[in-house]
Amino acid sequence: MARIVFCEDEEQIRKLIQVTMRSSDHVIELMPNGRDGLAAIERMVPDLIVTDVAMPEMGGFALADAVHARPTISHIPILFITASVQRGEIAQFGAHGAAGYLAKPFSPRELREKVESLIPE
Amino acid sequence: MDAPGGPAVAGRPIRARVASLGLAGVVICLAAFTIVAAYTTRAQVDRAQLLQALRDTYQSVTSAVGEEENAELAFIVDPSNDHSIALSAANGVTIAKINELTAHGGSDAQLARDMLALHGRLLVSAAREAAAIFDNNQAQARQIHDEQSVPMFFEMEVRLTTATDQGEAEASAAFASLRDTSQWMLTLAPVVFTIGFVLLLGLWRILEGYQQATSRTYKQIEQLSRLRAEFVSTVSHEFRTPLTGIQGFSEMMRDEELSVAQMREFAGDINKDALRLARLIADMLDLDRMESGRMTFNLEPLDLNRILADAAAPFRLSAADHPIELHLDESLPTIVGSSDRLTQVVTNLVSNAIKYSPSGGAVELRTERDEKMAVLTIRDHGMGIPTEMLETIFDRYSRIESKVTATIQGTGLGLPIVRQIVQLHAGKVWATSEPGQGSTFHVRLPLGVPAVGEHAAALPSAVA
Repeated sequence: MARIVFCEDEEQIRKLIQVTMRSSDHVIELMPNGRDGLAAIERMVPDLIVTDVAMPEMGGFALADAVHARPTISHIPILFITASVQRGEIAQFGAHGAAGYLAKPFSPRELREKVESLIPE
Repeated sequence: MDAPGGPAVAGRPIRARVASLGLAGVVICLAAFTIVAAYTTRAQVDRAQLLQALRDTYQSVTSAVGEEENAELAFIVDPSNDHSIALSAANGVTIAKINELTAHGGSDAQLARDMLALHGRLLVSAAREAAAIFDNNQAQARQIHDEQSVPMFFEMEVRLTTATDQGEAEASAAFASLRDTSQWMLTLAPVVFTIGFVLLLGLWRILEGYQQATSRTYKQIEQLSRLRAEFVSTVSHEFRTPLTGIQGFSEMMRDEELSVAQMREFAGDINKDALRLARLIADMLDLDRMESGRMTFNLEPLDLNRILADAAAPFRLSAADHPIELHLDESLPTIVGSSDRLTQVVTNLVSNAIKYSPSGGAVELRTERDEKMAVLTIRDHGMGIPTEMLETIFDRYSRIESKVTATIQGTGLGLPIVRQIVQLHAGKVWATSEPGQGSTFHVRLPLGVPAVGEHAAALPSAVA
């Protein structure tokens, strides 16, 4: 069992994530933007962070930078979800310390596999 | 979107090349004119100077011969030692002067040879005169001088005078042609250079124009390419989000054991995303057709109050938290426009007013007359619009992003469509707002037939 924080601004996709993850035994927290996500991450200290890139208030890259700047949570792997997979953005994932990325549209199976592969033993 | 002046670009390279060649040609012609003029003048000046020098030489030979004749006469009259020395010196001077003629070459060398031959004979007769004087026969010496020496002096002088006169004539001719050359240069040069400079300036301006046009075209291409990249990125983002829902929920329905209720719920989610995609595509096509002037409107006389009331009615049911208040000017004359499209304007604006007032509050719709315009205002009591975004909200995909708006769905095309429709009706739309207190959208439409303006061409008068 692992604890995972998801940050995603689109309500429909939050619902999809919730439905997808309910068959697993992980504890999940869904947040609508990076700022609320960061608060939840600091509170929970989860095993994995999954975040959308383009979000209001605080985007995925800003969230990743904020996480890496805080020693208590900087070790947590981050998985990016993005709707625009262009060459420039893939390079940026590395620059912001991504453990992996998932391109929209993704299938529930892909999301589960990616999440399982990134949860530390 | 077409690059303005696109088709004209094709003709440019050839004309620009002709202009460049013309420029080079004019420069070469001006340079050739200058070189020819300078060379001609130089050659004529050289020739005139040479002739001048020759004339001086002839004169000095002539005067040397005259001096020698005087010295010879003086020696005959008084055969003193001094006169003998003077005669010898005069002899030497004459020979030296004749030798100077030789250096000029050509006909002058021939003249010099003849002169030296004559002078040689003169020296022989002078020797006879000297012999007669040594014999104290003064009379005989005088006779030899008069009969032999004098005619020889005379012949030398005649030859020299002839050569001098000829040289004089040649020098005059040379100076005359130099004067002619200066004359035509003075007359022609200002004309040639004026024409040349006018041509240079003209061709230069043409090339400068092409250069500017080229750099403008490059800038437009750059801008278009950036817009295209932004468009592709935004559209890709807008499409991928509902597609994720459709793909995800449908896969779950296919792969998982679900209850009928869950099936229905997921089908509803898929339907919601599919409708969002359909709306996005319809909006994009509408906007594209309007922007490119390809959309045809059914124009008819309309009661704006009625359109407002009809468009607002469905929201009374769907958005109960937002009472809709109508303040209509019943005396408002009819306008001419498209009923469907103006309904779309009101629907988009009312829908926005409700969406961006999440905590409820009345939406006020007002019509009034302002001289020759019908004015429609839609006011909400929602979150308002930051001042710096009052204009940009009418751009494609420009949505106000904040914690509150994050949960509000939209294609980002509603307001651009509103602006296009209003502009195609020769009207104007803009927003005013006090953030936190709500926003007001103002629409002004001409009463009666829309004014013939820049958008008239996009408003076909025929009823389709």
